[in-house]
Amino acid sequence: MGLFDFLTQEIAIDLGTANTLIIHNDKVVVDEPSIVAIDRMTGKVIAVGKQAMMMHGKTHENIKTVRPLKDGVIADFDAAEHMIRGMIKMLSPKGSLLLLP
Amino acid sequence: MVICIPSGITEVEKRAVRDSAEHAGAKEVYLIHEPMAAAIGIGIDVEEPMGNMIIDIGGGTSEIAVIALGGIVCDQSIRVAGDGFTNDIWDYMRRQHNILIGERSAERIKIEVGSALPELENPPPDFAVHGRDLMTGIPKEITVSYSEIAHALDKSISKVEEAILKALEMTPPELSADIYRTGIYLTGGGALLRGLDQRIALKTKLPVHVAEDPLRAVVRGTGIALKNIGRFKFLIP
Ligand SMILES: Nc1ncnc2c1ncn2[C@@H]1O[C@H](COP(=O)(O)OP(=O)(O)O)[C@@H](O)[C@H]1O
Repeated sequence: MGLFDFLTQEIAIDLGTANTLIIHNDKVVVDEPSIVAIDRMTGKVIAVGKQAMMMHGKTHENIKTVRPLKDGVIADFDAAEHMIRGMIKMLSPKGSLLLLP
Repeated sequence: MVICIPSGITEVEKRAVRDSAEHAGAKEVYLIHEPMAAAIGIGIDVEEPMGNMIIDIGGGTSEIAVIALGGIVCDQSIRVAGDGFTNDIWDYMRRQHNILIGERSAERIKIEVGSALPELENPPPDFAVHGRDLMTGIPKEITVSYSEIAHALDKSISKVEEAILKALEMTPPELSADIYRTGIYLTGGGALLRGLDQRIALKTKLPVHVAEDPLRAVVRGTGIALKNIGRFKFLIP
């Protein structure tokens, strides 16, 4: 996780009610809608960002989609934390983003 | 790490954002207010003794701020912004066309044929939207034009205009004089609404500039703040 630690120091995040963006090395590396999909049974996060947005309005009773920020304030703390973590993870060494030129 | 937060956020919420970032591995977290980040992202030298007015129309809030000498001098924030516009369209479709559409479809309408003015020089073509007929329950298609959407959005846009006028009224006169020359800068996704710049210019008789790539102005500014952590005094440690 050493590289990941280093990375988190070097990023800028725009935490918006509609979209969350992350800049790293002067490049926008994350540009995703501010939304998470959660499994109601386990409370686990199923998807973050675009993937969760595709589910929005199409969920069945076991899945809910949550926009953690509403009206410019945090409406759901827990979901907000999951979202921030999920978005930062998108640029972790395991992801492919860093390998892009 | 620098995180841009909406300026209406409370201390408790700031703490929550900070905690989340720290849990994710960040060691040093600085926060920056959205209008400040937007101004920096546009390329304004925010530390100068020169007033600039920034209007950021995001999803949940429209923030109007006058910035000078590295600080926010006055600030108006209203809960009427992009999501409200989408909701107006959703409501209009239900009332006027008896069709129930999804939130994402309503947003598509806003992006494809959304307008702040009922007459545009370069009008977009009509747009076909699908949803459920409220009478029969059967899926159906409706075609909408930008003029009717302008009508549906009129009330909300008037509220944004009122907030702009209020912010201008609160501005100290030396800064008013600056803004008379520099004009108003629009950022956030709402800045992309057709005719909005023109409508605000008509209302205020001031020059209105739409930021280049308005959806990314805030993150660009936050990125610049990251490189100036030691220097920018308005970053919240
Ligand atoms: N072309 C467009 N025309 C009108 N509204 C748009 C357009 N593109 C995006 N938006 C709207 O802008 C809002 C998101 O703006 P953004 O600046 O990302 O907000 P936030 O900072 O709150 O995340 C959404 O309501 C979205 O529907």
